This record gives sequence, structure tokens and C-alpha cells, in this order.
Amino acid sequence: MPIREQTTAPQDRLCIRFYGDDGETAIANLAVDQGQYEVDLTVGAGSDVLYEAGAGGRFDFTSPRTLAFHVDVPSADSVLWLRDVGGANSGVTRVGTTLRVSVDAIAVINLSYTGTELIVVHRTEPNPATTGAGDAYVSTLEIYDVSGATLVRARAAHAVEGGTMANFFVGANSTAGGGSWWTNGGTIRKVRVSSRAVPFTEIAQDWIASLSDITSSAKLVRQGLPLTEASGVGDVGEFHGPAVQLPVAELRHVQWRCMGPLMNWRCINVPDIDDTADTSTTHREKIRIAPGGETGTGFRLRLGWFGVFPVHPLTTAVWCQIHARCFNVTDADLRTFGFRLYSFNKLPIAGNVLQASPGDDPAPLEYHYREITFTSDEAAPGSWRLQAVVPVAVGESGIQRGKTYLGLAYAHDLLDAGTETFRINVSAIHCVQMFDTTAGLPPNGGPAGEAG
Amino acid sequence: MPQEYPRVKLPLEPKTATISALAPNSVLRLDPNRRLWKAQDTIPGQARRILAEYGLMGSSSWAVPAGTVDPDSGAQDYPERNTWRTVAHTQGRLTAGCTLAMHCLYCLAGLTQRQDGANWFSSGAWAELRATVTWRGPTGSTDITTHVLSMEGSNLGTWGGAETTEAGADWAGLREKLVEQIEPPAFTTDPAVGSVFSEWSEAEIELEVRGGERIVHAIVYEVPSVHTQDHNDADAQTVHGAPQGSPDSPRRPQTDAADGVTFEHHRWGTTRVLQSHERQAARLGPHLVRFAANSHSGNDWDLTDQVPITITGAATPLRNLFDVTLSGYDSAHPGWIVAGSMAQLYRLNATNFLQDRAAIIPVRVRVDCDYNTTASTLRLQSSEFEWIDVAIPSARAVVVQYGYLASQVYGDHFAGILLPLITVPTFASATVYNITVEFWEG
Repeated sequence: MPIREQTTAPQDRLCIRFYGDDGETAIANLAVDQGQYEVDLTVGAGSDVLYEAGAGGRFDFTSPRTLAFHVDVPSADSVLWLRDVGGANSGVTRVGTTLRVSVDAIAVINLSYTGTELIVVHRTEPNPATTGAGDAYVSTLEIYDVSGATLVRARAAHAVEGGTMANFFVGANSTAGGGSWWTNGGTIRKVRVSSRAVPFTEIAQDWIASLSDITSSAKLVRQGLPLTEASGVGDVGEFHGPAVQLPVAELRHVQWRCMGPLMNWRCINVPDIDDTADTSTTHREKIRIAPGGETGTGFRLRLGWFGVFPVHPLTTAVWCQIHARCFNVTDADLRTFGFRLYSFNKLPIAGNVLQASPGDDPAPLEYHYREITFTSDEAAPGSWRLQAVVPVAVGESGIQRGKTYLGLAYAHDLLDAGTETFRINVSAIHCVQMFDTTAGLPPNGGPAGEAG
Repeated sequence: MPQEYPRVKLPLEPKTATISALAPNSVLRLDPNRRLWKAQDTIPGQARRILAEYGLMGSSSWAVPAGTVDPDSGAQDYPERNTWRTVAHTQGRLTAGCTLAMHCLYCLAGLTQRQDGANWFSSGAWAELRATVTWRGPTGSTDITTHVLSMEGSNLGTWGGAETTEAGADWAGLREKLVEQIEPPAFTTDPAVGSVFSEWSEAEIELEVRGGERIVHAIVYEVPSVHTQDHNDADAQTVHGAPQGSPDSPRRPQTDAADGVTFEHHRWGTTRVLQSHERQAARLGPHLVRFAANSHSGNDWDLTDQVPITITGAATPLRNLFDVTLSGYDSAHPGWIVAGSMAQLYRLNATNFLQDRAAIIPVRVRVDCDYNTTASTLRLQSSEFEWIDVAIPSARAVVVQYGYLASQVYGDHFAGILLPLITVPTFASATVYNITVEFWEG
């Protein structure tokens, strides 16, 4: 089962960029290498093509590879990018009424587009579903219409591009047929060549619009520099440093990798919840209790929003959010609603109060919750609510060992007189595992110790 | 234990290794390396991913009737006692050295019936939950096991099987059971079996119910068990089991793998350590979505298969699978969450460009579905720019697709809302049974 490799060999560069100055799309501007090597492309005769010659050069790689262009389309069929293998139409991306990706002169993707100013991304990477040499690679073509702000995407598997690369062209080459991009009225604003599979979100962040910063109380977790076997002195990955030291710091990130979501529910069944004391199947009085032993709190756990979940040993809390529509069926007045997300270390049994179950399990009931109250009379489909970090209570023995029991409770009209004109529709409940980074515990380091 | 089958029993809740940061220009010491070798053993021991799930999950009631109709009246009003009904069919890759367990929360079951001639009679109040697991080793070996747990019936009502009516009474009636050692036969006792399924195998889990089930929540999840390696297995193994030491010779590795005449040892050497780290770092990740379409209403107990979601055709593309009045991607709409903040890879999340404002993770999606009349497409989309299209087949099949999805950056980040959007041409229809989404790098 091969791992999809993202090579770090020296001749492959993470990113080569050629940008025209903003608004200037002259071919001479585009030829300037904005990246780390400052080796400009050559402007071809007639100023209708940019190229760099030489097989085995910095553009001579097939996969993983991402080519990204910001262009204005020409009026006639033309070639955007061509890898010229002795004159054959190898590795061509060209535009006409459709944008095409061709491999060894075989069109593998034809994709219609709208708009005249486009961001075009052609990504090639090993095919995880490969059945042999004939489909060992997969190309993805993405076309973004800048003025319409729409993205289309298609992908197709194919064999590796043949031969070695003699020249790298941007624009057109006479042997490819079609007219020059520039001569046909098109412009090329930016070109980016990467030796890895770059997701479109990254291109968008750079060329379309930047996302906002995120505020969080959590620690960012991400795999560090990739560490491979070839990381020793003299190997291609030698710049990582002494081979076995980096995994030491990297390891804790691997420990968290299996920490996925606990409750990740999109409810198929979204019943109307009101507070009618009704034994019918709609309202189900018997599945709701008032927790805390104080009926005045108004919060009622509901069996349909309850479950048991095994907890990663490093988890200390969950971030939860729910999607609910909270509204008034009678008039336009706002009603007061509330939600609590509970974490129990065992089943909260016994009627209308939370208490430890009888029997031979001696552990007391432990629970935590986070609460939100608000007024609402909202339209469909509703909105995301609660969004809080709840400490988890984890069972320690028996069947509860390593498990937490998560449940959502609701309340309505906490301050108003009780009425039955409200409705709650809960469509989704998410609980995402998180952990505490108190000093002295991993991953902040602290005193060195031996593994158990 | 034969010498050529190294086996290590994985600790259930191991302590984590505390590894200090290495300061620049410090003398290189053996300690960090030794902790790495031992700490790699802790990784499989922490796997608790949920691979299959069934329950009320929003519903107000169960399908089985409340027990107010005479079961000996001659007609069928309750589930037939021998009929198994599929309620979920999902898959997932297992962490190395892990097998499965099943935990079920339930209320007391309703009535069942048996047929004698043309008439129906009570067969008592009880229910059963069955997990049929197809194990697939990385080289193609397969095995199938079944595991059943029984649920007691209610003795309320004239004929039994009735539910309570008092406020909160269902909570008092909650029971739970655990089925452990869901694993290939002889997995922990026969090294030849353990070595086939220890390393990155996959489990396909079909959950079925029989009788008057009143399941609140049932899950099938990973637990660490035993990691066994075949000494001459040349596949991409991971190593778990730093060698035991003695007071005179504390734990330390051999510097070279021991190459025998016909086999090599997989346990030692710095290269092996790095390989294990690299393979685990690439392959481990969260199991995100294990969705099974179901219904708890009406006479759904009378079926033998899940009640899927069927969408009839319309001109509007990309309608929300759960609510066709919603179309297109909008993170304000309800869906699942791509909780991959712990599984961000360096190659997809370049600091320079994404600036820690977005996260992309590679995934494998499996959609159990089919269409009628005209081809349809299901799109799983988790941000404005990242989605995966699945071509729905004409005959029911599990379609596998790979791609990238946007994820949360932090565990408390509002992002990565995953919506299933379906495009069904007019006069056609499409049906979705199960959807699985898991981290997948290779």
C-alpha cells in the first residue's frame, strides 16, 4: 500500500512564480522569476512565448505538480502551457471553447468554462485508486471565473507523461499549433509552478481573497516538516538536520492524529420539539428529564440526543456546537431558548434527577456542561448555536471505562410564562475532541520522563 | 512464542512519552531516541475511532410499536422474530494492532411475532443487535465474523413489550452492554492470523437488528489489541515493540537490521524507527463521518434493509441531501464537521500561503448509493473551494473517491461544515444508503 509521496528532492522546487506586475500583463514582466532562484524565463522570438530550455532542468518533473495561471482568455484556440518533448504535444494545457488537459497528445480532461478572466489550476499527483501503469496518475483541472466567482472542477486518471522534458513553454509554441496566447488577444497575469499538490484553497488565499485570522484558545496542531528515511547527512533531506532528532518533536503530533470527532451527527429525523406533556410519539414526555434535581432550571435532557462515545486517552474536553431552528409558531414574538451540552462519566439514571445508578458500580456520577440562553424567532433552516468547550467526564471502571456519555438538553421560555407555542428543530450536533496543554504535561514538554 | 513472530500486547491506556525539546548545539544523547522507540508503541494504544453507529440520533421514538395491540390477534403488528434488518453498513481502516468492540445503549425491547399458517402470534419481547465484520488485510486476505448482543424485553402492558409513559421513565430504563474481542478468529492466539490483520487492515461493518429493538445509541469502535508481524513480510510495516532490556543492558536498538538467510528482523535499527514514524504520520488520521440512513417511523421494522434517502429529480442542482429546500454550499446549513485539526499535513497546509487560516486534509469517501433513469452526482463539500464529487452508479454499489476537504484549523474553529449536495436530473431519482468519510493519505 504505497504512501503518496511528496518528494523533497533538491531538483524539485516547492514553488516557482512568475508574476506580471499588477495590471501589467506584458510578456516581459511575466518572464521575471519572483521566486527564490531569480532565473527569468526567456522571451521567445516574436514576443509570443516564454520558455526555458533544457531537459533535466528545474521544470522537468511530472508528479506531484501543480500549475496555476491567472489569465484573460484569448479569442481563439491557443496553448497556455506546453512541455515540448521533441516537438510532440506532450503535457499541453490549452484553451478553446473548453479548457483541456492533454497528456502525450491525448485529451484527458475537457472542461467548459464561463467568463473571460480565469484562474486555471492543473494538478497532477499519484492516483490513490490506481490499478496499474495506465492510471497511475490523476490530473485535476480547476477553472475559477473571477468575475462570476464560480469554480468548476474535473479530474481524470492517466499514465505518466512520456519522455523527458526538453523545453518548458508558457504561451505557445509554433509546433503545438494554435496561435500565440498573446497574439490572439489573451493575457497571462500570473504563473505558478509547484512540485507538490496544492489545494485550490491555497491558490484562492493567495490570488482571490484572503481569509480572516482565527482566534482560538487551542494550540495549533500540524505535521511539521516531512521527515523521510532520506534525512541523514548527505541525503537529499539533509537540511532537516540529524536524522533521528526531529521525530522526537514530531512524535507528539502523531499521537493526536486519531483524535477525531465524537458526536458528528446530521440528524435524519428532525422532529418538532415543544413542551407539550404528551405521550404521543411526537413529543415523548418519557424521554425527557429535568436535570440537576431542580425542576426550576427548565433544562431537559432528551434521549434522542444522547449517546456513548469512547474518548482518546489524551482528550480533556470537547468543543460542541449544535444546529437548531428555534422559533415561535403563533406570532412574531421572540421566545427564550436554552441549550446545554452535558458530558457524563456514566448513565445519569433515575427519573427526573441526575444521580448515580444503583448497583455495584461505586463511582459517583460526574458531569460537566456548558450552557447558552438566547431569544429567537428565526426562519428555516436555523443557525449554529452553543459553540463552547465542555470538559469531558470519563468513566474509570467497568463498561464505562474510557467512555463519556454526551447529551443535549434544551429549555424554553426560561423567563417567560410557560407556553406551547415554541418549536425547536435540532438538525446537527457536533462534539470535537480537544485536550489540555497545561504546563508539565505533553506537548509542552516539561521534565523528561520514560514512557510507560 | 516462536522467535520469528515478534508480538507485543499493546497497553490499553499507556502513559504518553514526555519528550523534551532538543536545544540547539546540545550534545546528542541516546535518550530522545530511546523514548521515540518506546513512544511509538503508545500510538496504536490510543486509537478509539468510531467506525459504525446506529441509534435514535434525533428521533423521538422507535419504529417498533408500543405494545398496545394484541399480538395474538392473527395479524402482523410487530417485527417477525427471525428477520434481520440492516441499519448501517460502513467501513474504515483500522489503526495497526487494533480490533473492534461494540457498545450499545438501549431501552427494554418491544414485542416480536411468529407466523403459523396465516396467523400471527406473540414470540415474546426481546431484541438483538448483530455486527457482521468483514476483515480485509492489506494484501487481500479476508475473513468474516459475526457478533451478537441481546437486549431484554419489557414486561409492561397486557402482552408485554409496552413502553412507559411517565416523564423521564425511559431514562430510568436505560441499559448498556459491551461486546469485546470483535476480531478475526485466533487473532490474538495464532501469530499467523495476527500478522495478516495487524497492519493497516480494513473493517467493513454491517449492523443489523432483530426483534423489537429500542436502541438509543450503538457504536462499533477501535480498541488496541495485539500487533504481530511476519518476520519475512516485505510490506510497509510499522514497528511496535521496543525490545525489553535488562539492568545491565538497558533498551537500545541494534544499529543494523538482522539479516538472516531467509528473513530479516523488523524490530530494530534507526531506519526502521523512522519508517514507522513516517508511515504512521502519513496514515493515521480521524474517522470523520460514519453515516447510515435510517428511519424510526411507521412500519419500518417490517423491512430487511435500511430506509435510505431517496431524492427525486429536479432542475435545481446541488440540493442538500437532507433538506431539498436548501441548495448550494452554505456553512450556515446543517451538516457534519470535518474535525481534522489534528491531522494537518505539512504538504497541504503551507504556512506561507494558508497563514494558519485554513486547513486541508486528504480523505477517502465511500458512498453506498444508486440512481434510477439518469446519472446523478453526490458532492461532499466542506468549504467554498473544496469538494469531492461522487458519480452515483445505476446499480447499488459502494463508490470510492479520493480528494481534499477543508477542515477545522483548531478544535474549536467554526469551519469544515460538510454538506452532502446532490444533483439529480429531472425525471430521475437517486438513493443514498451510507456515507463514510475518513482521513486518507495512502
